[in-house]
Amino acid sequence: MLYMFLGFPKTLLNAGGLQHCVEEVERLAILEHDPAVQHSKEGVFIVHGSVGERQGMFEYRLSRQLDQLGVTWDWFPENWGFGNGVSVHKTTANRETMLVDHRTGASVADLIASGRPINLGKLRIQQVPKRTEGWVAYEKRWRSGTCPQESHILHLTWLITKHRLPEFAYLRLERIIEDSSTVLHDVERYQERHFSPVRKWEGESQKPSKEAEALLGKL
Amino acid sequence: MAPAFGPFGITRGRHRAGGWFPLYTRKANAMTWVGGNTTEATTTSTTAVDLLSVSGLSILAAIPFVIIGGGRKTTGGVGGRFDLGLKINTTVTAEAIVAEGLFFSTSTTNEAQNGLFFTVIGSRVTNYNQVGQGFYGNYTATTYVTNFQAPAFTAAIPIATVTSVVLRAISPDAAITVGADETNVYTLATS
Repeated sequence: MLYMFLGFPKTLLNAGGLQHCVEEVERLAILEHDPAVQHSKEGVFIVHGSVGERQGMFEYRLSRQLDQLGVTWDWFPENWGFGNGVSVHKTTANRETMLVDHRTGASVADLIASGRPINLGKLRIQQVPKRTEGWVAYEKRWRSGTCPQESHILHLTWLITKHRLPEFAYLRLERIIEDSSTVLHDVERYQERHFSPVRKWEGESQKPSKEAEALLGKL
Repeated sequence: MAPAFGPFGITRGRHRAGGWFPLYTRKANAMTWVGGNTTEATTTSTTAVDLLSVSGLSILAAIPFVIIGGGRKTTGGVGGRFDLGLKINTTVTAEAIVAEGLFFSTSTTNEAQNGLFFTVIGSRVTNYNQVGQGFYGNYTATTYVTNFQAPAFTAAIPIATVTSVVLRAISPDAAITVGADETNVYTLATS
């Protein structure tokens, strides 16, 4: 059975760490590790190399936070592989933008490409999101009206278990992955390799600089 | 300390607007994530899994592009080769298969390794649908382990607008954690 949760585990465990937690430390579930068993959007397959034989569909449960966010089963396109064991997936969604004249909506690139002299002083330039084919396709994966309208990173954590979990085990798993206040039991039984480092991008500030804010105030 | 992933675990950011480079155009596909915390994608799956995806792309069939990123594996079990595969849109063009090394692969030694993959995909037009070439290399802390040309295709590249690039992964042993991160897609200028 597939259990899916939102985000990178708040306890900072990576896939191997979460597996260690579930199977060795807290003994919450027996995970599927058979190297011939692959779960995908279309069902369970017995695979040999790149060839697979479909065995049927499997049960899945998506967490409440995923449902609130708008990630449902339809979020996953055809041929999506869930594999087996534990996976912490990462999707980066890129929103392209373009510069337009605020008053007319005309693209600045198109105006320049016309070959005519452009008086930039008469334009009110604005950066706006672009509805590209790729973005539209991505947006359709979300429940209507829930796709974040900006570039973002989405982490999903899923586990493939051999059996359905009892409710207490599911709720504990949910807390370990989605609740930042959760404390791991027997912390001394984990090693450094069970955790993934979290980093913060330091190249640029997301907010406008002080100089830019001051300039925007005058405009 | 818990990471600040923002509402519902989403890391939000903005991309840097495109600018001209001598060789290629850097568009939104080459992202600069700012103002948020993030981390890698990992798995223990012993069959192919969609590990990391770059979505929202719009790369026309005639536009070549480059994929650059990193992969790694930990120690565990009896060791084995960790492999990455490549999926373009919904087509698995190079499947992640243990010991095949179609797109990215480590050696079998039971040690932590990480390395780079670099792949160029050319213009996809009629009768030219396997137009990819690249290389990858792996290292331990001090040793150069493997270096291969890649990818080898298990299916033709779709002749269509590329809207997503997905890295598939497979671990040789459930005791080994494998990961990928910092994957960027760059489109190349054609005029």
